[in-house]
Amino acid sequence: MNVAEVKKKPLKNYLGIWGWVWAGRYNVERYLYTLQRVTGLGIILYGILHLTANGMRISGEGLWEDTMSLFENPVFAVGEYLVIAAFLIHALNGLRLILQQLGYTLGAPKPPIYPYSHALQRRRPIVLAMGALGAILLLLILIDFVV
Amino acid sequence: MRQSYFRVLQLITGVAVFFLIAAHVTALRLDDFAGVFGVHIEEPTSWGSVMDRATSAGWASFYIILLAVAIYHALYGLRVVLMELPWPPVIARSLNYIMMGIGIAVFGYGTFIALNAYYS
Repeated sequence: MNVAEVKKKPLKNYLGIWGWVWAGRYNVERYLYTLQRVTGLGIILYGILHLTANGMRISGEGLWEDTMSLFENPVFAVGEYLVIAAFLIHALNGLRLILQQLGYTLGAPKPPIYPYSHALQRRRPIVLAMGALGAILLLLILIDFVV
Repeated sequence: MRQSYFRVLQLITGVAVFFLIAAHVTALRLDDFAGVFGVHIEEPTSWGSVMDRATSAGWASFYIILLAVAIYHALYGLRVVLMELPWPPVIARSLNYIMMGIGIAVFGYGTFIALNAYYS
């Protein structure tokens, strides 16, 4: 691409909705941000369904029992597990973000000695710890679901 | 109230909603985890069990508090996502009020269901 073509089609710095999904080769933390949004929106969607289903009890026992019998399908059990997984991922990543935002993960200041490490590298153990905790809890919850 | 206070409230409700939903899910869906805390609810989705909880002051208050905290956290988060979309100026200016309207309506609906069952 020559200079004239670059001038004709300048690169956009606004990626739109696509930028939420794929923003290039960024660090894992950038994609945890995407996951935070996806899980958050998924939980909101489930919350709407949950509130609607719970509202059925206002029409009495018959409609309630009919609605609940729909959810005995194994597909809904898988859906429930995915919602709990989304909640757990959102919560643990959110906890990491709160700790970071409040400055608890900054660590003590130290002189900049080569090879330098950047802030994301220094905080990576927290991402790994949250990931490991999430994986253990998801496994325990899966066992609780299946057994 | 300044915008930053709403943001702080988002963090506080985030922590609160974590504990409230964790308690809700554990008590009603995760038998083994609930057993660790000495909680056991027989057939939590059966009509009898649902109405037992709905007519208990403790459970009814718990649900209403959970609803309020979850609605704030969800709608503030949704607002942040929606603010990034290219809305027409009228909608962009009214987004806060739209979110508040939705929040009040959903809280009203949920509270009505909880109180209707409580006083039944």
